[in-house]
Amino acid sequence: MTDTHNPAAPPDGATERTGVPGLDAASGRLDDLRARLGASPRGTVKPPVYGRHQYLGVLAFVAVTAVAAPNLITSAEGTNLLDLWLLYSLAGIGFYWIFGLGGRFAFCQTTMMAVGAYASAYTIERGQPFWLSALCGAAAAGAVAAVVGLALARAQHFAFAIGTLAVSQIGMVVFSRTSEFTGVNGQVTGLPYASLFGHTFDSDRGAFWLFLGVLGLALLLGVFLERSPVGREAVAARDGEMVARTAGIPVRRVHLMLYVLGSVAGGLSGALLANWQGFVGVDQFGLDLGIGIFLMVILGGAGSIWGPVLGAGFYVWAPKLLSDFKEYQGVVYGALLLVMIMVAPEGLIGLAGRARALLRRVGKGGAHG
Amino acid sequence: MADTVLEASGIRVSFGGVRAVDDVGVTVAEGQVVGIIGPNGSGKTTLLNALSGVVPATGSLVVDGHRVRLGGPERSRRAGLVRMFQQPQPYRYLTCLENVLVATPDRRASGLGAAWLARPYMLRVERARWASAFAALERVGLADKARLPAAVLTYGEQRLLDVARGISACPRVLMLDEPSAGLNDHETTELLVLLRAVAADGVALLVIDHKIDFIDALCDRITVLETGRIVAEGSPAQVWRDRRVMDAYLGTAHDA
Amino acid sequence: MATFIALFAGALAYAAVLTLAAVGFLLLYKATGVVNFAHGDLLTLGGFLAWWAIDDLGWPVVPGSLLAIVLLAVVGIVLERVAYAPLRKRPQMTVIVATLAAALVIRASIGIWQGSEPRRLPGPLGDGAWHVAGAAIAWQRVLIICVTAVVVGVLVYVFRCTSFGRQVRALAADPDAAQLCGVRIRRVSMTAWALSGALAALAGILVAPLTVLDLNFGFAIMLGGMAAAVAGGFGNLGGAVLGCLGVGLIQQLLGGYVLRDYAGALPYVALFLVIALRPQGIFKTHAARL
Repeated sequence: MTDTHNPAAPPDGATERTGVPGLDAASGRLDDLRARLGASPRGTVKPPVYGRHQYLGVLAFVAVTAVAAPNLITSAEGTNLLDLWLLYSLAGIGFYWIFGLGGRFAFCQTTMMAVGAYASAYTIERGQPFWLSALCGAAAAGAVAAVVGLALARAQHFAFAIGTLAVSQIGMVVFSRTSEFTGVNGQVTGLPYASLFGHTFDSDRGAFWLFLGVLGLALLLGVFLERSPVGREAVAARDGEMVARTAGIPVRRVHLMLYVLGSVAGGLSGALLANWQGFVGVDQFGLDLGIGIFLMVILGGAGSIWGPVLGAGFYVWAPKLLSDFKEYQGVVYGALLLVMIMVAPEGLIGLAGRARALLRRVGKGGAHG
Repeated sequence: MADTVLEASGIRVSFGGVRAVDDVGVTVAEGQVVGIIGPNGSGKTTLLNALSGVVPATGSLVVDGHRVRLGGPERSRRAGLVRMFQQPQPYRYLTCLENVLVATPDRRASGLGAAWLARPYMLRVERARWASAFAALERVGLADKARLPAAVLTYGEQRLLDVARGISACPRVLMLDEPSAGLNDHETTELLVLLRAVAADGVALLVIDHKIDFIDALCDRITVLETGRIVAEGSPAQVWRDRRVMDAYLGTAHDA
Repeated sequence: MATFIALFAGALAYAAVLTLAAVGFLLLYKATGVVNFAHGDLLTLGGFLAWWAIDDLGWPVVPGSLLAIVLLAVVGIVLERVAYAPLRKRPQMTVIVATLAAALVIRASIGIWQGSEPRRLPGPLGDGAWHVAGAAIAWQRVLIICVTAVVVGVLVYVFRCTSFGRQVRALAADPDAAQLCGVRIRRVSMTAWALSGALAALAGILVAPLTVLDLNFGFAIMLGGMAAAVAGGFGNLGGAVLGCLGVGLIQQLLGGYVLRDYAGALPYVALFLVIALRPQGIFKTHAARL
């Protein structure tokens, strides 16, 4: 089984020689280096998703945000919104994994955020360190998602959506009533600041770095996921379930895995939110935020991990833009959702892709004409 | 005499009160090509659906000597049955290469754990898979479209993509549903050559089609279905001489 | 004993509320295949329209309510033209998100129009109660039970014996075949949306006097009604009624004596269990022709 498969390669397998001695020697050394690093040999045909641009994108995003945001946004309110944007992006990425990649609409992402928030509050109130309580929050959300996901494993798209709707409603009731776990009426207050390696994140500016790190990690893990068989199997399971099953793809396992993963992201987001705000309330994870998460992902684009990041930015800053028209907020969101779903189901990112393709075609036409 | 790979008998499929497939049996040996023909609605596709576990069915299915329980696509796939559908079924948002990769029988390092925690190993396995997927695309003539999304392919090319998927799945039995539909004469001949080469590799083929010349040249044996039942069976020469086959396709006098 | 009767009556009334909320929803699903998440906000709109007729226009309770019902039938048709017809060929998820978006728009519009403070909608029978066997059952609850029984009876008749009902059943079974047989999808669709809107208004107007009329009023009831209807078997009216009855009984009796706090979650627990244990056969799954 050969590793290289370059259609242009000469039949005897020897690499191309340009005839220029220095160049050939250099490219020969490069090939050795590639082999030593474990990278694919030149000329391997691989799926485009394995291109370098994925990693560069994450790097660029983290770097640009780290540099630009603290300098461009200096007001207290702005920094607050910045932190909120990062956290909502994380929850949105979770929903992207469930709905965008997995193809299954889940109404309970905010419930998972609440589970994460309450579980993390519970552990931190009992004296556990911050990093452990945040992980507990994420793990708790994952555990609940595993149970729900297994129970609903055989449910088709729509039944699954309704089932998760039921879960979200059950959650609302349970959170406000189980006082020992979630506090009286679901309110938990007086949580200490997040602290990691002895450093306490006691300001919005401090929290920004923590959240950016977490989001960057999530994006990296997302890129890892798409640069693997999991990514393409998820798309296949989403777009042609029966065909995928006859091809041997473990569709149910893929769906369950994505659901749990997405819920873990939501739970982590909720846990971080709780620690940052210092309190947890049952209302903050209600219908408004739920619709907000759909809006984020659908507006930004459900076809890419960057969609929720873009959409979360809009969701967080829109109320500020609409501050004079507060009552119209619902109408604007609803109308936007309606328009997006009818005209541009792939969201803004999809539109950008379409625009790019159009420009490329226009450019080509211009060159010939 | 080559070994029997697939032995199905007594296959019955009912939808509501209608018997779509009624007591049908089919046997395919290694490297043999068996054709299934019949007028529209005779249950050919439903038979394939039953064997590949897409619709519930009763009957017996034995592959390589092992009994396979009907009704589960995963079970049929594990037994080595690979299915191509009547309409091309490309995953539009995946590239051609990925479309083929998804059908691979090599499932090592396919989970999230490998993707996150064992990337060097996963990438090594991936490179082997990329190479064999690309080879399958070359075999059907789609190598230059490997990195394009399947959505941009023409109908005929989508069909070829399905064939590439079928081949790369290393099947014991490859079941094709009207593979020559939408192909012109030249393309049909190329497909014929390709399928005979696949059979020569030892794969058992079960082919549904309507093009008589294609079936005649491709198949070693032919089974004829009408309204869910077998009306004739044998070598192509025997089948074309059988009166019942003519009746099935053209209708008998008292049907007017 | 008095407690039991009061609870039983409460169960019947609650079941009736759920049924009333669910039938408009169910009718629409059967006729068009659309799960209209905006139905709850149509309930709210109905309540607010009645309140506007009674409070702002000064109409007496019954004519004001009737006006609201008629207006909401019109709103249903408008929704059909604007939000649903363009989406007819789209995948199910698109339609779901679209109706959610419509719900958002409707709710926000009500808020803009009438403000968001909660208010009390008066009922036609006033606030009195019927005293029987030592228990006091609010007249409004009795009214709800009676109206629901009548509505269900009328709907059963419509489905079985009228041309409209036959067309709806044909469409529900096989839309393409029905169209080929001459069923005019547009007309059936608009009628169904109008009826669904009217039923939503009726439900909203009848239930609002029992509780507070605010922006979230209808959504919660719709969710409960949908949960109970699905748990009982979504596809048909009988199953939905049974589901609502079952949930009503469990909630009031069980919730009244035991598990008082968690009673609100019961319809959803029932719904979840039904979906987990019997995922097929609840909603029509359109298997792709392979």
